[in-house]
Amino acid sequence: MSTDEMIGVEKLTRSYGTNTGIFDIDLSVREGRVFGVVGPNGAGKTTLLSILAGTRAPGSGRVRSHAERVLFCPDVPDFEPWLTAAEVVEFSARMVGAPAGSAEVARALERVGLTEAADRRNGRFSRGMRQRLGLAAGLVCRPDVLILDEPASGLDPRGRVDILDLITELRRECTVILASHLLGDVQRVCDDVVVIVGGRVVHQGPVADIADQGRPNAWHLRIRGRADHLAELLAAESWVTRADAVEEDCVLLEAFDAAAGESGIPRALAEHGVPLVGLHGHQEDLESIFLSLTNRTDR
Amino acid sequence: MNGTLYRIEALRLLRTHTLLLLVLAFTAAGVVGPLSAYFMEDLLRLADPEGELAALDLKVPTMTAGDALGSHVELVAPLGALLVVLVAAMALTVDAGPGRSVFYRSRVPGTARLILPRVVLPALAAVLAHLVGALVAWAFTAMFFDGPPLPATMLGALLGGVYMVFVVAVVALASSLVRNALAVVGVAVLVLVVCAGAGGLPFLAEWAPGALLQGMVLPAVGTPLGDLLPAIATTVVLTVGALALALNRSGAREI
Repeated sequence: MSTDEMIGVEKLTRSYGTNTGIFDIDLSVREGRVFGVVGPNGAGKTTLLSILAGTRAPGSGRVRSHAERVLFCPDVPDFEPWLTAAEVVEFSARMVGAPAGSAEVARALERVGLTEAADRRNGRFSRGMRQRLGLAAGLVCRPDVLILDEPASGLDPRGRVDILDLITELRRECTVILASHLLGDVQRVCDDVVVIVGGRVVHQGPVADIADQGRPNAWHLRIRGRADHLAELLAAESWVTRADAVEEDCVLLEAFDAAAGESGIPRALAEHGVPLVGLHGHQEDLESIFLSLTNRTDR
Repeated sequence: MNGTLYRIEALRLLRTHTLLLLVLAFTAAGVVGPLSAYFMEDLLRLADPEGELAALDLKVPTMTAGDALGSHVELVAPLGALLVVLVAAMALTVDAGPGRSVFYRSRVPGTARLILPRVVLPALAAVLAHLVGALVAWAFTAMFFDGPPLPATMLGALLGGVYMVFVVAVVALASSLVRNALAVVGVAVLVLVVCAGAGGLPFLAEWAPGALLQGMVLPAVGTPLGDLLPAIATTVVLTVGALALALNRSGAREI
């Protein structure tokens, strides 16, 4: 448990029968961070979020919480359809005893881009609008921890960017736990991430670390000069596992690991006096890393 | 915070027009009941234009104020109670969908705070509608028959209101057993039908909650309201029990 932990779980298990549920989960969410929860469908993300939110009980294990107010915004929020957007936000604040004046309500709606719809009844809102309203209803409560389940799944590209920007801003106000299957979103806004597969944690740590696993160890080197000659020279280097001329002026180079290549390439080019025109690494995105993590577990 | 949840329920009754519909339905029963008693002979004649029933030498007894009010109760017992079930189910199916359930349950500490406003407001609406219906029934009865005393009739109607509270408590219990709105209505109706069936048994008749609806009729037929004490006791015990069980089960529910 870190000293700035806001919420965490220890040996958390909730089983729904044979191999479904979550098992022996340990995680720690630090204050003021955006914490991503990713995993395939049925991995146990919703169970974990529900237990953190207190709407479901753990089977065994412990939840450690330093938060006074934890709010859960489900993927498809639902409200009394005859309430206006402003009333939903106002009542949400009043229910938890947060300030619920017209200024607070207007500010929350403005932050999610629903100012124009403030006085409209929410019954006819689209899924995306209801997601925004759910977020506004959460923000106005000033939670210590805001749990968001797929907050951008129903939004158009512009709306998604807006909401992701808002979530990025939120780390100054509260701790955010965000479940999403859109790994690009997670990579964009989260500081830390836990990957859950089959109810078990297969990876946990800073997003930067997981992205680091995808650092390239293969590059295309476009040079001024003959590629086959450079390929021969590079193949003799101890840190190189493969060097092929794939075009007249382009070498495909593979190193033992990313660090070896990152230090070896500039040194070798300088030694052999080869001018470099371009360098392109084969960086894996979070999606590829996620797939490799989940496949590893499946095997 | 509690005030907020009561305000939401008040808005539900007003904006969904359920309060208006309840009052109109009970008022309609208050009109139709006494009128159908007063015009019983004419109605039979209209139903038998060929005069075939006349050959059977059927005699329609002279209708009284008790029959007029009883006719109103006969309408209210099944139809009014069903409407109250529907109105209460709208409020009490808070866990029907996870989206709405999470909205309330992650903000409202304690099941009682969440559920009680959803019991109290529909129950008040049902009692109000029943009293309005009873008042209208009394007025039409007084117009055509020797009117029974208004205070006693309304006091008896108030006992019918206790039955309406019982109906709402049954819906609360049903909503703690099942989540889907239709299933809640089905379970509640089933429980009420069983109660009504039990009331049909001679040795249980005076104890059945449904007997309370007769409260507004008793003054017109010269029977003291005290005769309903066993039914009052049963209804109060069952209402409190149903609510306690509903709160207990609802509190243990997971989303």
